[in-house]
Amino acid sequence: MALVLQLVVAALITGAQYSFLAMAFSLQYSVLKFFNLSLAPVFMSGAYIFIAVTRFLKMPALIGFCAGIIGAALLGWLLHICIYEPLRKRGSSNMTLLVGAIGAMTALQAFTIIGFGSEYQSLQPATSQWHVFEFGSITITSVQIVTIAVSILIFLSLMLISRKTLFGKATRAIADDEEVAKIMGLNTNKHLNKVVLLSSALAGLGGILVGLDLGMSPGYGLTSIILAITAALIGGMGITSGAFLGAFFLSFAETAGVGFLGGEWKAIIGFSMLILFLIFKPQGILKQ
Amino acid sequence: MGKKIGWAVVIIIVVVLIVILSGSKNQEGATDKSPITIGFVGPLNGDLANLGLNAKSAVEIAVDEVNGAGGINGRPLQVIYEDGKCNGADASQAGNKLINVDHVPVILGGACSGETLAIAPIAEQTKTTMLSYCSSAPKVTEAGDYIFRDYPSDTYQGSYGAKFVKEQLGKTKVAILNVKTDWGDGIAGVFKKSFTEMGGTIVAEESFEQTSHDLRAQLAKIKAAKPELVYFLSYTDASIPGLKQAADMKLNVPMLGGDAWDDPKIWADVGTIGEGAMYTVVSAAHGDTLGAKLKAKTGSEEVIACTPGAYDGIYILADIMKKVGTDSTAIKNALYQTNYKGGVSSDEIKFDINGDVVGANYVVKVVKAGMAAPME
Repeated sequence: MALVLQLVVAALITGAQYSFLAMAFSLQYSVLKFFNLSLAPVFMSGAYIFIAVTRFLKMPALIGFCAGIIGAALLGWLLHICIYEPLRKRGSSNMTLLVGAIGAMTALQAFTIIGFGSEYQSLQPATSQWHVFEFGSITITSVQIVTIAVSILIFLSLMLISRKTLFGKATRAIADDEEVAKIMGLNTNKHLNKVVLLSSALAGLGGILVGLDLGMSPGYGLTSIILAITAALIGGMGITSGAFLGAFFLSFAETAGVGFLGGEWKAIIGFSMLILFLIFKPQGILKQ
Repeated sequence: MGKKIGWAVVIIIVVVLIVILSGSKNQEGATDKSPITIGFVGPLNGDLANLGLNAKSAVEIAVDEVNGAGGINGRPLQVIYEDGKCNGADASQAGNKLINVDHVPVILGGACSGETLAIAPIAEQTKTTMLSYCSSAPKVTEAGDYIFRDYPSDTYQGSYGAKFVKEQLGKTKVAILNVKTDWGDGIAGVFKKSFTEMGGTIVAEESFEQTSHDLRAQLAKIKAAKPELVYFLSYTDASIPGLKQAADMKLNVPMLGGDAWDDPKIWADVGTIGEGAMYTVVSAAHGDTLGAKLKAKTGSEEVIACTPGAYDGIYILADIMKKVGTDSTAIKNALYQTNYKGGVSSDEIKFDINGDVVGANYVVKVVKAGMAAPME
């Protein structure tokens, strides 16, 4: 019983860690309609900027946190206006955009290696440890609780923004049909920029929170974006609330796989889910 | 017609003269001064860059020493360094380049077992000799006729670890947590076999992929199995978060690792969590001498697991090439006959019929205040 509970806690933590990038990806996909793999370096940039600010500039963690989120938002936005916006204006296909995104991702990963080396980096100083809360035999650290809480909070805020604000309505209008939204007098380009800024900031926040718990290495971005896309697909492509649920669905399936079969099954289970959903339930668990 | 024949005769005479002259020049004893180039493969970037770069520095020292003492019969030794990144794909690229582009007769490497096993088939096919300085997977034993290593097989490390846990520490219930690589699976398999043969019980067997940083589910299962010790075989990348997660989950049992834990970065990063962690590592007979030389070169006297073998490897190969030249097959045959004395990794290095180094000395190191030191 204690084992099952500890596994549930582990799945909750992992699900929350997947959810940031999954929601960011899904939010962008809903309006831009292409697989933006360059969210992987945006995600990592949050963590690496945090490292640069706290370790090299020796500034407090709070500044590192803000710098990481703002930096990630700017990076995502720059990629958008430099690569994707011109391509979209030219009427390029989604395949062209995907190839551009792969290029941007690979180049930025190489850039990270030049700046920080390719080895593993801890975000947390060696001298400090997170506070560990114990409930019977179940343990969870402070940063993990914060991660789960922030994940839920962001999910709720995104729902609220989407339903109650003009911003959310405009986003949904573009998601439904960009041309119609434009004809109706919406400055779609300006609005897309805002969506990109918001989703990139969200990805950066995720990078910092995941990094604080698990550390970061340049190869980690690709793994993360693939898991995020899987979660977004499971939840229903382009539905932000779906991506949140999908992240937990995926983490629970993976953790159950590790718990009952063994660690070597983790990737097999994760990616089998991706394929099964693509074939049998391509619209995901939530239909639009 | 006659003119043409005349020209042909002149050309033939010139060619013959050139051949004779150049031949007689050699006979007069003017020696070939062109450098002898050999290859090196190891992780120079990434997860295990610390191990690879440390070994590279030692190789550079050894090469300078060999060349300072007259090189190989007057010819300087040169090394082309390639990055195998501790994985098969990059290593086979590196190996292909060294063999097919640089045409080296010998490769010193790879470091990781995955590297060596990826290059081995190419080396075997092209009859290129390989001397690995750090690969320990049991599979390397059967990798081929041209494949050697001066680093002991995990058959030794796994059974040494099992014996240490059972006899020295007196633990009987152990959980294994290993990375899914040739190295991790190899040691875990031997450990399990020896430990159960000695009457111990393996209460949990868990594994994870090399790219994984999140070992919580595996650790939860291990915690539930209530082991007296965790045998945690992992590289730097997963070891740091893994050790932290184990501490967060209050898995308060001793940890024993393999030779990959001989990386100071781990112990600097995990801080107090690493206190008391133990690992088995090949003991270098004269690691201190090498440490002093490294300090003069790099400023740090740190000698990481692979480094003594890499340093000795250069001397072994240089000695052989002095005797048999640079033909790869001749080098291979000579390696089987080698009995190298006075190395830093071991007093005597010999290879058995599988190209494995004979005998192995291990020590257990314990982490105290962020530094690993041999157990007393």
